[in-house]
Amino acid sequence: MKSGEVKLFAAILVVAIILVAVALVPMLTARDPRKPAPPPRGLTGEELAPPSARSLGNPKARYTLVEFGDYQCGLCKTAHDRSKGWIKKYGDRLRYVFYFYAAVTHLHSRSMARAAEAAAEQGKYWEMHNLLFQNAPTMSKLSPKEGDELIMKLAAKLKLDMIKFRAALQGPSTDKAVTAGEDLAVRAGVQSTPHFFIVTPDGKIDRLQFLDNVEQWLKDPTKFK
Amino acid sequence: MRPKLANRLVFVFALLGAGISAYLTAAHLNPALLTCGPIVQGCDEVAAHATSRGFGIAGLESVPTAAFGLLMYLWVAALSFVRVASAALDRIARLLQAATAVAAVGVSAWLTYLEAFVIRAWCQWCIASAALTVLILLAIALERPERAGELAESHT
Repeated sequence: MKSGEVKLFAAILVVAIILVAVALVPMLTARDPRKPAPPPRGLTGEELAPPSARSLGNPKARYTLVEFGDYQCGLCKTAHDRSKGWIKKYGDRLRYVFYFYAAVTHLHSRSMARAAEAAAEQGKYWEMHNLLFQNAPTMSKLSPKEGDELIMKLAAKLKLDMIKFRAALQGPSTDKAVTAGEDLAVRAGVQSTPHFFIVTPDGKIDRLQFLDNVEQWLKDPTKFK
Repeated sequence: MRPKLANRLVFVFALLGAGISAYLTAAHLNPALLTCGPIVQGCDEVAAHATSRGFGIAGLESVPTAAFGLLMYLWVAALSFVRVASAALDRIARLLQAATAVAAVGVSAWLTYLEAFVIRAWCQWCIASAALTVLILLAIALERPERAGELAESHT
C-alpha cells in the first residue's frame, strides 16, 4: 500500500464486498433458481392438456409441452421465438399447448389474449398468436386505444371477418376462454412467465418451469420418442 | 471540490451502484428475489419489459441489463482505485471515468424515459441507479481541474 488513501479505499472495498456477500449469498443459495418448484398437486395431465386443447406439433404425440405465457412479457417473446424451432425440429413427436397467463399486470396483455381467442372463433388462433408476439414490442409503446387499433389491423391482416371478430372481442366467450387458461395457471401454481410443463404418456405432470430447462429437456429427444 | 473528496465520493457511489446492480442481476436469475415498494410498485413490470434483458437488443437477451450496469460501476470503482494507487495513471483514469459517467447518465436517461412513457411503471432500484450515475458525473464534473494532480502527489 502506497498511502493512507489506498488503505482507505481497500477498507471501503472490503466492507462493500462483505455487505454484498451478506445480502446476496443467502438469497442466491436459498433456492437454486434453475430448480423448478414441485409438480402441481390436484391437477392431472388430462386436465392440463386435454385432447381437445389447441395444439401445434403432433396432436397424437405421447408427450405434451405446455406453456403458460404472456404476450407482453419479454422472456415469453423469446420463448415464443424458440418454440417455433422446437416445433419445427420435434413437432412429429411432441405436442405443444399454449395458455395465456399474465403473472404481472401489463397494459395490453389481456386484450391481446382476447384477440387470440376471438381469432380462434374463425380458426386463426395460432396465426393471431404469432402476430401478437411479433407486434408485442410495438404494442408496449401504445396507449390502450392505439393498442386496440393495432389489434384490429392485425385481424384485418389475417383477413378475418371484422364484424364477427369485433363481436367476439366484446362477447363473453373470449373472456371465458381467457379466464379458463388463467384458472388453470393458478391451479398449476404458475407464478412467473414463461412457465413450462411436460405431460408424460402416463398422464403425470413434470414441471420444467424455466425456458433453460425446456431446452435441456429437448437435448435428449430419444426420451420422448 | 477537492480531487480527494471527489474521488472518494465517486468510489462510494460506484460501489453502491454495483450493489444495486448485483441485486437486480440476481433478481433476474430468480425473479422471486425482486422486492418493490413502499413508494413505487412497478419493479415486476419493469423487469418483465424486453429492455431489462440486454437493453432489448436481439442476441443479448440472455444477459440482464443490470449486469451491464454492474460492470460499469465496477469499472468506475476500479478507476477510482487506480487514481489513488498510480500517479502516472491519474489523469487518464479520470478521463475514462468522465467518459463512462457521461455514457452511463445517457443510458440511464433512456431507461428512465422507458419507465415513464413506455412501460409506465417505476422501479425504485432503477431510479436509485440512475440517480447514482448522475451523482458520479456531478462529483467528477465538480472536481477542481487545477488540483487534479493532488491524488497522485499525495503518495509519491
